[in-house]
Amino acid sequence: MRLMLELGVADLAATRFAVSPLHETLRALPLLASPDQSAMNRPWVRWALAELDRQPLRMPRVWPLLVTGLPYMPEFLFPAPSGKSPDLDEELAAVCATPAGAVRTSLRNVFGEGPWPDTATDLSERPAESLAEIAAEVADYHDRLIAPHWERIRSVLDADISYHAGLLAGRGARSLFSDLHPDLRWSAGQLFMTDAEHWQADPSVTLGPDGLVLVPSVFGWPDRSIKKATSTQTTLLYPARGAATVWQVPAAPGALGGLAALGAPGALGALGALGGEVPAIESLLGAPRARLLGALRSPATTSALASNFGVTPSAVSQHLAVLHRRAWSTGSVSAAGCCTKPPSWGWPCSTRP
Amino acid sequence: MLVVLELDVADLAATRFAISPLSETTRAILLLARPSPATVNRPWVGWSRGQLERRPLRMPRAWPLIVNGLPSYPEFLVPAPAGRAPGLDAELARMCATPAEAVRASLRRVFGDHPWPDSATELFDRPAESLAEIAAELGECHERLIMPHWERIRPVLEADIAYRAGLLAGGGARSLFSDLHPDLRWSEGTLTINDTDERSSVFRVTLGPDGVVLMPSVFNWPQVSYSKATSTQTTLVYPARGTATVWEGGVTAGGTAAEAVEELLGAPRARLLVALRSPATTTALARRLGVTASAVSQHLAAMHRGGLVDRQRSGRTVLYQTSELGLALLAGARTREAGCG
Repeated sequence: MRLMLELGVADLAATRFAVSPLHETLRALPLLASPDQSAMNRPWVRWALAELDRQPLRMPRVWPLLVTGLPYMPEFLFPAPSGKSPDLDEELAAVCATPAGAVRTSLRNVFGEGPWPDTATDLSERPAESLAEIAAEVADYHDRLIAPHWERIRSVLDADISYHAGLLAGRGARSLFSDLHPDLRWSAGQLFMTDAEHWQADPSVTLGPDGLVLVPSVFGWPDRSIKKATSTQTTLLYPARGAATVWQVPAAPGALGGLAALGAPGALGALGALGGEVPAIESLLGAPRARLLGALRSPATTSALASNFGVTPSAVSQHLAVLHRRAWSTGSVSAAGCCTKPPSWGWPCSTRP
Repeated sequence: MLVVLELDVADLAATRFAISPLSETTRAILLLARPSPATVNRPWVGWSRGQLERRPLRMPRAWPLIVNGLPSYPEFLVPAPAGRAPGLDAELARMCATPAEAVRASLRRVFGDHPWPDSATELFDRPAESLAEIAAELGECHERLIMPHWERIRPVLEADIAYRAGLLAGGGARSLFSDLHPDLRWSEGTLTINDTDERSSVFRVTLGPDGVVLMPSVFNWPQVSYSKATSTQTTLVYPARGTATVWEGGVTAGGTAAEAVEELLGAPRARLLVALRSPATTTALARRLGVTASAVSQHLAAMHRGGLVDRQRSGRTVLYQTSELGLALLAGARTREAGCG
């Protein structure tokens, strides 16, 4: 079964990309309940669960709304990002501004005749207050479990958008969609999405005004998802290119030291699983360059690397230049700054000594 | 005159950017013929005329077709680029492959009842041979007059496309069109060009298949041009951002930094500030200035932090360019020098 979106020329002309901290934050939540949903994100799940063991986080309002086992999530929790990259506070303000009518309609769409969690009932009865409480819970959860990783996530999302912007400019929108996800196909002015089974009941999508907002996602990986109804713009979430690199953190003091300080030994094991490679690479490249190579499995700026390793940016820059000349890393730039990431052909020493 | 391009959703989805050395070459030929060329490109025109006085370039076939005194030249001379940035040879090969009928139809549209130059008549009579000869002429013209500057022109075109790609991603095609040229308007699928032609008529462009190919141009500055009818895709040529910076440092490579700026920033950074009026990569700069890439990179980082240079991604490379603030600094220094006489 296929889902068809009929975009008018004005819709396509308004279609744009955006990075959404709120989408990422909320998409990550269900993974804590069922880690198998996204194997790639398991390192984060393990780290987050260990972190929660250490100090629990209470989310009595948000959790029952998102971790439901139902096919949909309430759309008003995911307003279309208003700009290219709003911050979390702006996005939460947009959530709080959802009209009461839209909140109730969405809750009915999601929970229907089924049992309603208390928080949904409460939200339906006093939307404004409830939304404010939800926003506070989300902000708290974001600070503890997402923010520590946001810089790396953000680099990957920005790099994805840069890549797709180039594709859009060089080959046009029609070449763009199939590159976003294999389930997407553009043909003769229409966008088709191969079905996920729950579309079968009703394959229609009611487009919001002003086209689509295309949102790359790490935590939504590997799925794509589209809002079937919306009170803002229609958003299409797709897996970011290179999402897997976010969790391939090296056994570097800056990165893992930080996690160890959080008291998450499980996370050390999970995130440092590739640590065994380091000595082999070290003997080849020397310790500083090997550490850089390891760290750059996830894109980073020269200054971020320098502060991570506690060395000067110019030292990092010189090593990177050498690595770059040798094609060990690829220089590219994102909206946020100059990033460097490892070559696409993989790693020179993948066997353990 | 209002020129109207009506795009349906499939046209818009196929619309893309490209860099065309052939288009730049023909636009440059038109510029050479103009008695008072646009100010920004005057340094190049002066340089080219000097070159041609020293050693003439004969284009008996191409010149009368392009410099014809009519509103347009034959569209088949610049077919829509097949990829994002084809080489000149690929473009000329495509031109030579134009079907005889398309050549004749285009010649009739352009020259109609006007007197036909000999080369047009000949092209009409034996298209294949004539096209090959025209390609040879344009190839030579490109090599002598454009190639020596291509290393500076191309980064400006690339930087323009990178900037537009950012607009496209961040705000959609409608943000793109609203920023492309002051004479362009986008509304609900209709792209309108307010042509300089004073007539109050409306001209509807018959679109080729597969949308519009948008091509930034240095030599067509400050105008926007379009192919009225086409046997390939419809092309739209618009002035590249930062065109003015291409020749600012003079036509011959180099140019001296204002001494005041040198005093302020030190010689290496002042040289970078001047060099970056036309965008370049760290490696290209290092090569041009004969210093190490890491030295350039350190200076650029400081200059970027200080807001004197902008950084932009283009494909897999990073382009630096003197920012508005940096240009203001250079201009300020020059004004003061002049004032001190």
